[in-house]
Amino acid sequence: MKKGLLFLLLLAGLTPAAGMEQITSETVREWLGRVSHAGETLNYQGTFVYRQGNQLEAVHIIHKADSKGEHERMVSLNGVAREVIRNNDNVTCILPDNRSVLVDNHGPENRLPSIPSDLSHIGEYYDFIFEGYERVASRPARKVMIRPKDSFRYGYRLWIDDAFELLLKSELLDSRGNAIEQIMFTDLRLYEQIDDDLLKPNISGKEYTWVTDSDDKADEPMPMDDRWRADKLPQGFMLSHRNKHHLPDTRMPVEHIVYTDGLAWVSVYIDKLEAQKESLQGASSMGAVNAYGRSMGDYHITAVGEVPYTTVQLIADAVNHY
Amino acid sequence: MGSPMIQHDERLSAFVDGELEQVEADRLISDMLSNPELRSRWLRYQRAGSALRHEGDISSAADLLAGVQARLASEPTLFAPQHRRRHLSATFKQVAGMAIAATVAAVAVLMIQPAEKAFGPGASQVAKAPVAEQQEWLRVNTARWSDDRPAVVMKLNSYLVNHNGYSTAVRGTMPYAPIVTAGNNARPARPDEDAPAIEYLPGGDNASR
Repeated sequence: MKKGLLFLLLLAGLTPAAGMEQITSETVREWLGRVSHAGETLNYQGTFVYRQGNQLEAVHIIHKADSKGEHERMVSLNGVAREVIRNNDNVTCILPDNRSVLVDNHGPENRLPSIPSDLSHIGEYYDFIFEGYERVASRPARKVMIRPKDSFRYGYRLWIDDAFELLLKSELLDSRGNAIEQIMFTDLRLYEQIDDDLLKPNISGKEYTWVTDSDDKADEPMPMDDRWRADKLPQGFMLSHRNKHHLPDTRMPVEHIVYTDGLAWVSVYIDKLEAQKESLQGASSMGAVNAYGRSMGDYHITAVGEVPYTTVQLIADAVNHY
Repeated sequence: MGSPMIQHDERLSAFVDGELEQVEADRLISDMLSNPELRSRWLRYQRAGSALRHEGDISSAADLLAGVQARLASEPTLFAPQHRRRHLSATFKQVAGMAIAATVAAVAVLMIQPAEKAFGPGASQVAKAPVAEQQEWLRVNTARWSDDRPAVVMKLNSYLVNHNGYSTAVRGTMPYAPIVTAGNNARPARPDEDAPAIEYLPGGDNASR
């Protein structure tokens, strides 16, 4: 009995109950808005683990921000020591297992920046809840739950560094609240400055095969067929943007339509059916990603995204040629 | 109940083999996070597994981790905010970037193959390792689609990588994915000719060891 009372007293002392009540859904959403800003503008080094099911990857990250923008280096700590080096939009991926280096020089103009302008309805589909303070990577963090109000989307649990608002940990949650995917810093240090030497790769790259997109006509805009449309999307999802491009596996350009509810993203790909090629009919999944494919006349439609199975199916079924 | 370390070893072994129940795996990972010794044991298990699978000259991850940590410990921990930019809906930029960094590089290995085919067998030195060996690597190390017919997997991977690039680009995220899809139109370039102006100098964490 006494023990129980003591426990309650301790609990009351540890839980910032008074503060919690004043933190509204709005406040939490403001924090989230600042998280990415922190990730871009701070200088830091750390190790994070990325986990999906029983797979665990440890990655060392070095991030530098200066007047020229962002510079970043990530090194895989287990398995093959793959490296990703990024200078703003220039990304170099070093794959020692293939003795190859992939370079992507796509400037921002090649990507589609359009964001649905009206995200004010996001509160209709998710609850934003502050759940108190916890320590992650030895740092005090605000724990936040983003709970979907229906079964068309996954939930998220986030731990935000209390001092610098950097994201320390994140979980993607299925409908039962189980973590499907987890990313977490195991150690993190912030710096006033980062030495440029730390951003240089360990590998000379001299004897590697280089794969670049420097002579790339296929990136010029192609006419889109906007008669491909979805008439009835799952609640809350709307058109974000559309595009047409070549993918490594397809000879013909693919129509690409992106839908979002503001947090979750679903891509729909429409390509001409190749008779000799097998294509996905029905559902497939990998970790948190679900895909659903179906044929329509001479075309094949695939919806892909980190959303529940029903959502990709509904979206794939909704797309039609009008 | 054996000694704690024996128990850990059994769990680690099962975990690395993908045979641990979800609940058990959760527990092991949280143990690892609070226990550096257990973490380095896990890295050793990973390394042993990699060696068994003939992954070749892999870096000694545990040493690297230790080196990095030692280096970090000796440096001042300070911070200074830089320029101010706002991305309202860029909520998960950081998360997405990390996830992509950790996974897309693995998918990239798959993606290189068709690009190479496009230029003919003599044009590229990408696939030096025997095909069987690479497939084994993929089987062990990458998450798999539940529909595993090769043509379907190939297509879904290219969609996924592209999807990551676009959806996260919208969020303002680090664009790792397009790198991989670039393989489509790419031609292998020799570093002395067409390589972009990126300098590779001796440096980095390992060089100082």
